Amino acid sequence: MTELIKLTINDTQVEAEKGTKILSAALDAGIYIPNLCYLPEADLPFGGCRLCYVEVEGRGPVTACTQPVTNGMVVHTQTPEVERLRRTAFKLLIAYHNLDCRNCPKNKKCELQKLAPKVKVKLKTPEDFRDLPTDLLPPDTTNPYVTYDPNTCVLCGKCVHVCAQKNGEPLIDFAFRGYETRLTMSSDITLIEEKCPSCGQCVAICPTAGLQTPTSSESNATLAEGG
Amino acid sequence: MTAPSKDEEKQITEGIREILSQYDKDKRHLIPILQKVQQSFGYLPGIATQKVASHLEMTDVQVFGVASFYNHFRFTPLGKHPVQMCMGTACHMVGGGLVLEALERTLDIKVGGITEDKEFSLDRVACIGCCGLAPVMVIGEKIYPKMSPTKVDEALVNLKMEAEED
Ligand code: SF4
Ligand code: SF4
Ligand code: FES
Ligand code: FES
Repeated sequence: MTELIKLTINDTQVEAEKGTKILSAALDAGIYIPNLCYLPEADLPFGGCRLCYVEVEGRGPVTACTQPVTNGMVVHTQTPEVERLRRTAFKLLIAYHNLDCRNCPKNKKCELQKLAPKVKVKLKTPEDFRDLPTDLLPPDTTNPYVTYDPNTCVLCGKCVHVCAQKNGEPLIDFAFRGYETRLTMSSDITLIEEKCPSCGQCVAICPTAGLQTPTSSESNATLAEGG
Repeated sequence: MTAPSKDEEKQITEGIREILSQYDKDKRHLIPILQKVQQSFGYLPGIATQKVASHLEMTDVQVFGVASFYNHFRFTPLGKHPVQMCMGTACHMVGGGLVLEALERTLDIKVGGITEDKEFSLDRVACIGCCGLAPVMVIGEKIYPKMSPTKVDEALVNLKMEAEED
């Protein structure tokens, strides 16, 4: 039998199996903590979005998706400090995002739109980041099954994970560094045809408009052009 | 990116096979292998990424992901005259960035690129150890001290003429 751990989250007594991350324990107990990159089934938490900050008494702010529960742990999910950290993290996520929701294929189904009110940030380019580069990067249409828009991708890593799960190895992965970090599609078409089952899981899990199935006339045109 | 010719491609494939034969199939060899490949060809050719990937049982995107993380690796060949602009602290402070922009404009390529005639490639490097002469540009073995955007044309003109004579 797995050991049960007892902890307190916002004055509520919570029990969770040993090894559970604070985030899962809270969500299972009906206590919401903002999160974007968390996949409960991943062995190693990605920990990239930094939206899930909580305060653990005696330890200060930690990311709830990476910290396992311990006995007697006291967690606060809404202190001014963690709310400030979350706001900053969210602003960083949208700092050079092409915020054109009205014309975006993900409008109304987008995770960022859902998160914005929860972290109390307006979904528009934050004042403090107005000086960042705003040039739009070209989409990647090399993969016939999925197109990639670096301007709305938030680098959450979910697509890379599900692709690796499904195929035993990722056919998409991050490349470059800093502002330039983006997803790369396999450049080798034979590899795509041989290995990508066009399962669409990466598109389904994408919280933003980063990955799309090329159905719109525009992306079809680009595909045809590219041969 | 300029695609290698059939002959070059054959040579590259041979070269890579030779390099790979020295390493067993262990992912920890990835960076040493990439370094060797770059040493041999001056850059990482597209087929190299794929061959290295299949040798180490990784996908080509994983190899590309690692390689593209480092400034050290380049994906286009070096030009006949490799131009390097120092972006170390001293050179950066006295306008190295402006010289680099001028180089990009004049050569009509971005950092990491190569001109269509394969004469010039452009890279940024960290301190090359003569900060007193900042901002410093290097073309091949030759050092160009105290550069400014206006000196870019002057420095390139002879090399460009040489290219046209060939
Ligand atoms: S991905 Fe979401 S936040 Fe970004 S433009 Fe589309 S709808 Fe708006
Ligand atoms: S494409 Fe979507 S799922 Fe993949 S990293 Fe970007 S935002 Fe996340
Ligand atoms: S959900 Fe914890 S860092 Fe993204
Ligand atoms: S910083 Fe350019 S030579 Fe030292």
